[in-house]
Amino acid sequence: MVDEPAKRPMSRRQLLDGVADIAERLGLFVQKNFVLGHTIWGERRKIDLLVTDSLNAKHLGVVCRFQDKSGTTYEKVPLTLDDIEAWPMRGIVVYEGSGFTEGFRGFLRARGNAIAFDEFDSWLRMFFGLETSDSH
Amino acid sequence: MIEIKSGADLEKAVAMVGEALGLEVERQVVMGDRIWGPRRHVDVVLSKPDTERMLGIECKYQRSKGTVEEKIPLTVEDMEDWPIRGIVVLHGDGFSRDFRPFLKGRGHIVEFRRLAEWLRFYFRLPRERARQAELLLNGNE
Repeated sequence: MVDEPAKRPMSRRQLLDGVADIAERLGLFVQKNFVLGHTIWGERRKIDLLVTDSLNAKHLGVVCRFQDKSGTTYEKVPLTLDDIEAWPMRGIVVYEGSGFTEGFRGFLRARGNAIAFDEFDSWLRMFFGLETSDSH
Repeated sequence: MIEIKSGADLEKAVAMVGEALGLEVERQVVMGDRIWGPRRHVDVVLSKPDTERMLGIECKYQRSKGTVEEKIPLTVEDMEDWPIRGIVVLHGDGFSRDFRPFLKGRGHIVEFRRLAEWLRFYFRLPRERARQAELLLNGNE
């Protein structure tokens, strides 16, 4: 059986749905807008998606960042990555959109804990120790 | 007193403070590339004639509440890569209450109303000259 590749998101809403869909298709439990303590700068922390493998209670927090226009909104992502360091479980930023420049994508790759949407499925399989799509 | 209603006004005001202190002022100085790739334009660079002391300044103004402030930590991170010392000068009521102390805790942050005082020590300037600049900034605060 070969999974259908996830459709490329065209909005933040579609990115959130796309990420949740990938996790649920893998049998993982997804909670949206999960409130967890406070960010390192003091406001209530709302994590876009909390993904859980119920078999071993392993958690992953996911923050979705979409930018389809030029601009500098993506410059907020590193602060999110700093905040992730303070989470009690592993976290990752999933980004998508033409607004993320090549230079910034490279910068995010170097920072770690950030991944493009089209690489999320295989990353998630590896993280939770699930069958990889290559092994089908 | 200087009236500031935009980021451009803040940049201009910072340059005026530098001039009032007798420093050399350059604006929108191209200084290599940002750590994430694009050309780096530093808002203001101050230098003291006949010394090697230089300072780059990024100006951040936020009038209303929003999340633009969340970009500032990346600017501070970029400063670690500059060939000269750098600071971010903040002004405006839009910064959220908790974010200001968070930023200050990371260092490299100076409130605009404290800029002349800070520059006095950085560039080792006479107290009287700094006082003149403070009057320009804040009036008789």
